[in-house]
Amino acid sequence: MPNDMNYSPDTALVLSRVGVRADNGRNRREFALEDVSLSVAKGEFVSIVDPSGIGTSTLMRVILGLMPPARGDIMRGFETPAMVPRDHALFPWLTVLENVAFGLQMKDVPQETREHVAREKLAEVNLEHIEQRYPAVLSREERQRVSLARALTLAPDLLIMDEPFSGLDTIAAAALKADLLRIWRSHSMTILMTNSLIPEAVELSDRVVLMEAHPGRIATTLTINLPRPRDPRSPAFFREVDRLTNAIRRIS
Amino acid sequence: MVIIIVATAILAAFGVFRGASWPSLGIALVHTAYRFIVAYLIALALGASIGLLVGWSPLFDALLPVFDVFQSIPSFALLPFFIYFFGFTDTMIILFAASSIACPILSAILSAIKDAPQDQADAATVFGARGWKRVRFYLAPLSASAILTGSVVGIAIGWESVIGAEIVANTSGFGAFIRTASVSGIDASSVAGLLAILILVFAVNRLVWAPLLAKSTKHHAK
Repeated sequence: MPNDMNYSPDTALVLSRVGVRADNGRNRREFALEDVSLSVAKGEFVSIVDPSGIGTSTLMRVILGLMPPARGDIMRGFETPAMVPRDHALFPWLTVLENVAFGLQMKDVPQETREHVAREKLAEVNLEHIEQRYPAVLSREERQRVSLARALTLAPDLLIMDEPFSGLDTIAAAALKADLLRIWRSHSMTILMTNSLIPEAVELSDRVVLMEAHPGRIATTLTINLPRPRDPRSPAFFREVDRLTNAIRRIS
Repeated sequence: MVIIIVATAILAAFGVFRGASWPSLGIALVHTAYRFIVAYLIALALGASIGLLVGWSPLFDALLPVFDVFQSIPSFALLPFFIYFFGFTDTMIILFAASSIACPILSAILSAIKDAPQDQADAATVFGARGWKRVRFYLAPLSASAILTGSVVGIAIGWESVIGAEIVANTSGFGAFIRTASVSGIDASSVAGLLAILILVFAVNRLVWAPLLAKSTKHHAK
């Protein structure tokens, strides 16, 4: 973990001793994150596992510039970030197609072009058949995929995903994982994902950052020593899951 | 509404409305409806513009308590203020009613923006809804449902305000009609007037607001 701004052109993001104050729910602001230092290379897939689930969403907001850090420095080596929020955050008044095209509409891309791109991205997440539906009638998996397609329309170089597998059943999560890996490879983007599921973190990530709570800070960072494609039923995979599980136990 | 129409028909069949001054009642209703519609349009423009601008402002959190206090002021407490500036005129009645209709619309918009999920507001920002685009493509559609519910509440208060101000001003309209009727006692005209205003209010709610609310609820469902 860097304590200084060791930035290079291959770096997508550097956080150096970042601290963030947030409301603690009792109308008092205290440090939700403290002394967070992390460097992410371009094209890397990094998972942040936070067993307490307290500080990761805040961290993502800080990285995206949606809230300022109370202290520390952030070096952003990405140009076009996009996000898949925890609760997908689709706009309920727009159809699926309009939701996916939203980012392009904000860039004043002509309607025909943006709808063409949106349809391409919907096809990429296997949802081209639901473009005229509203989010209210979609399943949780479909909403998550629409949210992913919306992010992809911006051609992001950094994709931030907040608990993308939360609330999905095993089959839906497996399908989304497979698609996510395919999209990550084909788009050559950096992915920063918060996740509380250890097998998913091991299967997808180059590195896993483990957070501890009160205040949130990085406890340790583990590199996943498995070749890709990864077989989640192999003994080596289970050993990595055990290593991560034991590291989390030590923290908690 | 069906009950009111049936009751009106039964009363008409028994000749209760014989002798009612239909032309006076019609003119009074047209005056009141005209003032009410103009007041609503002003209130809608005012409430929606202020609500969206405050919602867009970085001072949103700081301004919210100010509007909470403002909303708790009874609308009729402001009537002397309007009479002082505009006298017993059409303008006074319309602006007074507009002020009382605008409050619930404004309040509903501010609540909708305040209660919007943080994730959704963040997504709007990340995907480029900034500046006036934030108002047009995020805050306005986010508040559409609230504008409708605020309008329903505001309109109920608005009828009261228009008719109340007409009673005070005693110039024309249904309020003045009621004032005259209250002096001369309950007669066929006052009963007909009462039923006419009830039918008008129920018809507007049933034919305009109920379908709009149903459509809005469908699209805004989580």
